[in-house]
Amino acid sequence: MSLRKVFRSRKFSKSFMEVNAAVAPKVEGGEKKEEAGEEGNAWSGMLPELLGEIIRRVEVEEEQWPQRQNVVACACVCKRWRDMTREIVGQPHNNGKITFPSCLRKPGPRELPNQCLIKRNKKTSTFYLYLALTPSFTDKGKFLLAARRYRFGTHTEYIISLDAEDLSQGSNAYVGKLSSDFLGTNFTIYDSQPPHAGAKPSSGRSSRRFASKQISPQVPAGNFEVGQVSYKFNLLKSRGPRRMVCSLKCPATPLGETSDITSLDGNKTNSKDQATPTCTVLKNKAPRWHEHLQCWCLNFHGRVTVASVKNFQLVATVDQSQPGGKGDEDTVLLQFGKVGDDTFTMDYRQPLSAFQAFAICLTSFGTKLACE
Amino acid sequence: MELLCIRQWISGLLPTWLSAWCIKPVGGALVRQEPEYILLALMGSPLKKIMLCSSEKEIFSVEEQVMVQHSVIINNMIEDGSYNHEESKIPLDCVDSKTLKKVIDYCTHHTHHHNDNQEDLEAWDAQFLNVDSNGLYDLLMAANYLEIRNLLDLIYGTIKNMIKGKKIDEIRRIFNIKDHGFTPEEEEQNRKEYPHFY
Repeated sequence: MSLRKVFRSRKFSKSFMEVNAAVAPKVEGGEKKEEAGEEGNAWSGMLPELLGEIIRRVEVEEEQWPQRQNVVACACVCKRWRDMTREIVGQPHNNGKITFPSCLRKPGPRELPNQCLIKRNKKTSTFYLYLALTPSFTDKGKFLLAARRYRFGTHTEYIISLDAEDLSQGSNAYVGKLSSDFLGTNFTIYDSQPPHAGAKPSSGRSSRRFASKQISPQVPAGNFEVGQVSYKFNLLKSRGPRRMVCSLKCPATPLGETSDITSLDGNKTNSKDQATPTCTVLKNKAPRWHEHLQCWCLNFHGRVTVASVKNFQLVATVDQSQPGGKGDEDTVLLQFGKVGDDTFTMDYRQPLSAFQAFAICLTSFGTKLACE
Repeated sequence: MELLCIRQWISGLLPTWLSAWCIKPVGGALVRQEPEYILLALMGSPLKKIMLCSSEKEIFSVEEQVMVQHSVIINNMIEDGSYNHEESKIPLDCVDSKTLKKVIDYCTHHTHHHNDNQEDLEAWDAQFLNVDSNGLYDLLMAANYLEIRNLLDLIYGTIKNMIKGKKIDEIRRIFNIKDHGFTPEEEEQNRKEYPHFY
């Protein structure tokens, strides 16, 4: 085989050829120098394998916030870099990691839960969700979501938003809401985005379109019901622990059964999801009565330090991400508890998303009439 | 002088990589080749050179050992015999002269100075990659084309550091990305979403 053939037989990537498009077709070009302006296109349109390698190396190093903002920066440099970054962030080993705002609707990690903090501002009835960056309960953390309580005559609503300052339904940052009945024992979780293709909005909102703050295409306005939480009526009114049940339409978890791993803006689902959205049912783990200490006890593994009736742990009874759909009733999927006057921890994992976990925790605030 | 002393003296003349290389199987065991024979072989023919031809048709003569050590592509070619030392030159149509010279510099330096301490090598590498983004791009393409693993890793590391901690407008400027490809609405949305990144 002649030498020239050896080299010619090597694969040329299209983008490399594009850079030298002005050059003679045989790619004998030493004319690369002349395309000084096109070198700029070279970096944005380089071989996908090389661009992928660069972004992968950035991503691997910056797993935690605030450094992870470098990954987000890569996604904003240009269109090609954005596509490549989304592809890399969407890979299975990155599941559960929070990079873009759209990750807040994706399932949490499979093994270790994401540790978050919720800070309450009683005066403004506002709650702020942060991703914990250190084990300390007093450090700031990365802001994820905010929620504000609005009381109406017969019900209460919590508006959840990506913007800590702008907590209205009309905002671009609106993510969803939580609506409770008068007694404060039954709640419905609404998402501003459809949980699966073909889902119908619950309320009769006008169908004006607005761009959502999600690095994702425009979605129709409306509220889509994605879950329900109910607290069991406690007849005896004894100061026993609450009982709560949640049923959620969960995002498809990539266990190989369902899964469209590259659904980076949460809008694509596979055909299975169109027919029957996956559903998860959670209940709270019953605490044990500690005879000696004369109190109800749950093992929060140090993540909850102040006794409160609000504290809970949720396990799954029905979990489509598990084989057979049966939930593993020992694994705590969501844990919430008090660590300070206005500080709470929230730990969540797959199949729950950060948004769902936050909404469920919000149900724990507020008075539960006839429950305790 | 006794034969033993002569042998030791000759061994001392050889670079370590060559001495280590000289092991041949004899009767099922591996024994070192006598050093005097190696020296005679070296003196007999100069270190083999190969010819690399850039896209601008400029010929570069470089030690075969140097390129074989670093470039997987060239190593494969020499091994499978498609390169004839007397007649052939290796055409590298995708690498211009300036970049090829730099690549050869890199490989040569790393072969001859592989025993240097780590700090010196890193300092040399940093100086080597002190080029503008166009030059860096050309080096990346060349290293990828020739499959020079350690140069590729080095360039990736440098690019990664050029990205980290920078604002997006700065990244675009550094990499000379004039057209970001977003629609005006998308770009406006990006800036609203992450004002502190720009």
